[in-house]
Amino acid sequence: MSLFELNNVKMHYSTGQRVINALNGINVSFEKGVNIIYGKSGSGKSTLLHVMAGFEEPTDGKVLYEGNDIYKELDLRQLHSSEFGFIFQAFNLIDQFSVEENICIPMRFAGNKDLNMFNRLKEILEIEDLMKRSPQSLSGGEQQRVAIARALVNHPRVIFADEPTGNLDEENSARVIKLILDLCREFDTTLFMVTHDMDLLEFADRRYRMIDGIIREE
Amino acid sequence: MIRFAFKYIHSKKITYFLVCFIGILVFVFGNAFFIYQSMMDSVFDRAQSIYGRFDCVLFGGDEKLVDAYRERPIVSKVGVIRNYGRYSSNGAHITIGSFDDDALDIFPISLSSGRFPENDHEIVLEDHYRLIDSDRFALGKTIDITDMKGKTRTLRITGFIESYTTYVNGSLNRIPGINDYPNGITGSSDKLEYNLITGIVIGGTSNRMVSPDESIISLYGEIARDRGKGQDVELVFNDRVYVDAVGMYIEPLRAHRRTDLTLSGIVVCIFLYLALKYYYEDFVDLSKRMYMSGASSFFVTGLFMMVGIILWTFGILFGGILSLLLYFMKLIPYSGILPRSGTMPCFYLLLAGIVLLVIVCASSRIWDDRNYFSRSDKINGKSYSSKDSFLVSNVRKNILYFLPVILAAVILCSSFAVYRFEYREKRQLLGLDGDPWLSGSNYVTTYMNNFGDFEVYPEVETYNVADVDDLGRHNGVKSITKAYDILNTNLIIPGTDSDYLNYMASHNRYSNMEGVERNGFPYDIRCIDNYNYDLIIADDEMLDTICELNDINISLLAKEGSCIVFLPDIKESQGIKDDTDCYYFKGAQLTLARFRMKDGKSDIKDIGSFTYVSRDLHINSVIRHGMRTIGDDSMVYEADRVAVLISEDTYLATDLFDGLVSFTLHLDRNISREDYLEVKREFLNICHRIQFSVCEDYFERLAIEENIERTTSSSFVMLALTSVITLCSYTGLMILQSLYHRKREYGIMRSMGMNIGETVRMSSKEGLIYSLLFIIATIPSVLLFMSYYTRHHIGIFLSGRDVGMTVLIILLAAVIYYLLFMGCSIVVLKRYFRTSISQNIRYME
Repeated sequence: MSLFELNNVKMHYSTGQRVINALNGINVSFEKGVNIIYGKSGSGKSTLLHVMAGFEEPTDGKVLYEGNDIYKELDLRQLHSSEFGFIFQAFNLIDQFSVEENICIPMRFAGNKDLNMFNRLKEILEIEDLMKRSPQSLSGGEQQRVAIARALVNHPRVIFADEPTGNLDEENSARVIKLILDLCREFDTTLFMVTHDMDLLEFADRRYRMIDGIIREE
Repeated sequence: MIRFAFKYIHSKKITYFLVCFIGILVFVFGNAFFIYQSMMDSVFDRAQSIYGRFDCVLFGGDEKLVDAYRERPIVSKVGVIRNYGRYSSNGAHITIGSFDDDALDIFPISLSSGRFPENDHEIVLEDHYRLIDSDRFALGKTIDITDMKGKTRTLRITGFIESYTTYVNGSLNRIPGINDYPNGITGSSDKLEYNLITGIVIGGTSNRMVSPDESIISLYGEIARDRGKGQDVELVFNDRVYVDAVGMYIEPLRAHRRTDLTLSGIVVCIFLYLALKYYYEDFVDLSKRMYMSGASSFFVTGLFMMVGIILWTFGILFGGILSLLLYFMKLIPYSGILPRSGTMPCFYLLLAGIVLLVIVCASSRIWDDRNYFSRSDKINGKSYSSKDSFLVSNVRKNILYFLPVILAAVILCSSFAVYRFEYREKRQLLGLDGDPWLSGSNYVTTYMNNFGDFEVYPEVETYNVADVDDLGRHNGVKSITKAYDILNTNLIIPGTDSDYLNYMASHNRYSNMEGVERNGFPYDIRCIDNYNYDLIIADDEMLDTICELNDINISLLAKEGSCIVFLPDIKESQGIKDDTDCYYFKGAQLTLARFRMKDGKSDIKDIGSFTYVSRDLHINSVIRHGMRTIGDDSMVYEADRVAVLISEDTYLATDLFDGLVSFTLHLDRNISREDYLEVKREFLNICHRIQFSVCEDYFERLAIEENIERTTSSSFVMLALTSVITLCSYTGLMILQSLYHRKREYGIMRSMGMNIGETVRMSSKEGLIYSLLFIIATIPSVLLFMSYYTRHHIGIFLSGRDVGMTVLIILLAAVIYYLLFMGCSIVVLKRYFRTSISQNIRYME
């Protein structure tokens, strides 16, 4: 059984009179490992990731996670708190909380009180000194490392990363990517990463290309 | 309801219908409630069977004037008393008036024996004459009366009526109610316009017009004529003329309440409407279009608030004009337009709104600039950093926005509290406390300074001065009316009413009953039954002199005399001993006789034999320094005075002797301000604890006052609540905006597994924190403000009730605020959870 299976998934947006077909009947299966989806801007990569992560129900079709429809048969809250982690391009840390509190938010929702993972991530991501600081005071690279820690702190089985290096410089991008890949491998976490950076494809177990709402495995 | 509102929010017809419907409901139920309340009121009874009308009694006046009164829509019955005047009868003074039928009906006269006169050779006297001299004043006997011109007539006594000075005391300044006729109205005599009814004093059961002589009536007429259209003269008595501006005194307070209540309801509706409309429609769109910060949206909200307040103000004016129009068309018996009807709260609200708006504008500018410069390069871009969510959800930052709200709350609550104090103060100072009929009126132009021989002490407001000489010069109702005027502002020492004093003592109102030093100003106030001494005011030196000169035993006097000894700085070294023979002194005697005794009697029990009465006890100082002498020389001080009301028994015993026992405490003008204030404070402190000195039933009176107070307070509570609701609607909008701007944060947290329950809990805790902050910040500020204001501008201390009411309103505001916050949160959050996480997160992108 595939980890993810998408059956004729369509996603349409309406903006006034205009209808945008972000996903045009996607049929694909995803396995464990590092899956990288690439394509041009506006090709539907992020939408696909959001649909898979349970953020946005598709207009049509099914998204199966381990054989179950995530929108109809599974508890999305449970998936978000325990099974999935998400890394955003814009980091999306919450300013009102400190770095430490940001990382701990998923733990609170999942009822997870085990701090081993938290401590380990702090060490690996080298963010121990940032714990009491406000997200606003961090650099982009630092914020993304915090976001990675937040995504992984509950030891999820799947990580979705939506252009995690989009707002970073080259040096930080390489470091962040390396960290994500290393961590996913270390913790046996499946990674779905969306990017338009062709240089990252070399790290993928499987590559998928999005063109105008259609996906192809390469 | 909310769903209904959402469903039809775009339908203006339904929205307007709802607003109007709610307004009408408020109007109808508000009026019904107050009419019901009026009917339940003890001051509102069958005698006032026509709602809002009253009976009046004119003292003298020509037929034209009487007819003019009869035509007034607010007057149900007009009684006339003519030939009012004072006569002498073998040394006794009798005040006589002839009542017409209506006057008899209106006056609470009850025969205790005999019958009413049937021709103008007969007279009815008050019972107390019989008590004074039962041989001379008896049924069937004749008495000779002599008028001022020396003309003598012989009248036969046909009956006695119950002394009603007691009654009058209890019913002053209010419409006589059913409780005032415990024995029923005795009915009228038969066409006896010129029958000489009684020697009792003439008083103000008409509760509006009390006039001692025709010159005042004439003055009344002149003023009425001069004033002309719509101008009524409402209160005329003794030497003071109270002039009213516009038709008042019929239902002023209740009209006031109705107007405020109705318009308050409309204001609430308007804000409800605005809150719904502008949050769910234009408000959000506007925010987006303008790249609005939360502060900018506050600006818009503040603008709405201002518009609402202005509408309210105009609404009240409009309502007042409308009611005035109806009044002149004789469709309603009252006019609802009152200068103070809602204008003060409106003014304060307006002030609060302006302050709020200025602060909001300032903060808005600051915030907008700050964000503009911090992300100017992104304004036209699509993506925003997390800094875009500057309207943060945590308390620390939102408190900046919350400050204006707290400030507004402080201003509002304080304003209402102060308004209430002012209102109460004015009523008290005019001796009108307890009279809801007058209290809401725009009485008063007083010409107090020009009458009589009293002077105004510089530090004492005009109303704080009582013309005590009048108390001595006149008698009966008029005197007591004046006494009542000063009741709440001067020292009132009841004499033989030991019940009352006991009552006061039992309620700890006389905490200083026995030589307690307060504020460094020691007093000894004692109350002893059975004797007719009313008051001794003396300092230690003076008392020493008195004792030496007259061999007076102060303690015996205090012990056995029915008096209160008010002794500043008394010393034990005065040699007070028990069982010492003493002379008696009544305060009235001090001036001329220096404590002469009548007929050489030295028996302290022989109180009835006192015949010599003077009026003033002059003391050049009641404080610890300065000359202290007794005698004529000391009477020339120009000073403030403190009036003393005597007991009725004393009055009855002394009425024959052309004067009341009354006292005027003259404070030396040259005493230091500190001393003066100290004395004044003490007096005020005492007098505020003594509400009523001569009354047949203190408890009943207190109960009535309690009810009236409660009734009066309700209108303020309504006003305060209106403001609070207005404030809350503003705050609610602010919070909704805050929540709206937090959509992204909630989206992020949803992506990590937060459900709606957790979101609501989080939101509710935040609301609790805000409410607590509201309470913490507002209550102490308001109390401090109130305390300062009342202490320094009104000269009284906060009472428990005042504090309680204010705190209650604030707490209520906090609860309303919290509930509003919660309600809005749940509604908004539900909407968030209906949209996808992606949409939440992409908010503002």
